[in-house]
Amino acid sequence: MDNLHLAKTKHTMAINFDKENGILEMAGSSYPENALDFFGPVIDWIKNYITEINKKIVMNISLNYINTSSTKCLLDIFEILEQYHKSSGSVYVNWYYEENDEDIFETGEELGEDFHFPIDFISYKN
Amino acid sequence: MPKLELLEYYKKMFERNIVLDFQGAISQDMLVGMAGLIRSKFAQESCHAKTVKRIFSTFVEMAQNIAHYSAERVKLKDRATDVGAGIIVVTEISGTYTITSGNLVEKESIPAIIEHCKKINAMDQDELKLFYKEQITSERAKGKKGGSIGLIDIARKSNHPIIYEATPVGEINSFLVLSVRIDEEMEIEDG
Repeated sequence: MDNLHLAKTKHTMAINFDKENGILEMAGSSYPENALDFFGPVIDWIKNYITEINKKIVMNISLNYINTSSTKCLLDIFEILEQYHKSSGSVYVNWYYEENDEDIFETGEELGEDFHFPIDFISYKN
Repeated sequence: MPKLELLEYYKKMFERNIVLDFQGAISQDMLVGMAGLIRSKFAQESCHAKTVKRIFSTFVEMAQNIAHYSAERVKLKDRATDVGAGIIVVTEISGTYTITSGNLVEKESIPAIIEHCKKINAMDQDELKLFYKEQITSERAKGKKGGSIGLIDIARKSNHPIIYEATPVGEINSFLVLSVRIDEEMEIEDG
């Protein structure tokens, strides 16, 4: 399998998934016309990584804005990570949010509250 | 020579504090452009950062609702699929921002949308959070695209009831208007 790199656009996130070190970075805003079309390959990559590489996953997410249909896709990703975590895969999620951006912080908190893998919330100054 | 009515139009927009007024097919490019315009305009006019984000977010959800669900479909030349058309208006009156959308919806879909709005309007923030979580984890299974989650998210960010109005237009469709209010963020937040 190859690494996955998608350049950031105004309405889609930059995706940088590295199979060598298991670091999965997602950064930017997400409100594509069809969230399933955008996240489909992203979800497939994670599934392949789990099957083929089967090593640690560190997901770094830094969002500026996410719409509801993309949030649903992110929830799908978290469900895959949860399965991996339950089958004793190493999963760490770092949720970055701009200082004072309560909405993005709360989105992460709500998405994460039903899962058991560790999520760290890290604020940054823009 | 026909009379140019732009001055009248300008006065009307000025009186009503219309920041953005778009009527037509909402392609994704159009939506991204308008959302960017709104963000720049309100950020430059020294709105609270949180307010700007909430106006942006509400605008995107409402415009995407038109693009996905409007019964008025327009085929654009560079695309395989059609996009929805409607009207979206953003106004600002002394620290209160209002985003109003209008589009055609099949009459038979109207009761469910109104029920959904009523249900949302009767909920407090905690109930909305639970409803949102319930819908986001279950909705795709029912084969929906997600418009009803959009409205819950809008209500959570607004703190005001969603105003709705449906007017029959011809045999098949009604014109559905949804209006959402966002107040300028104050220093103290009640959480």
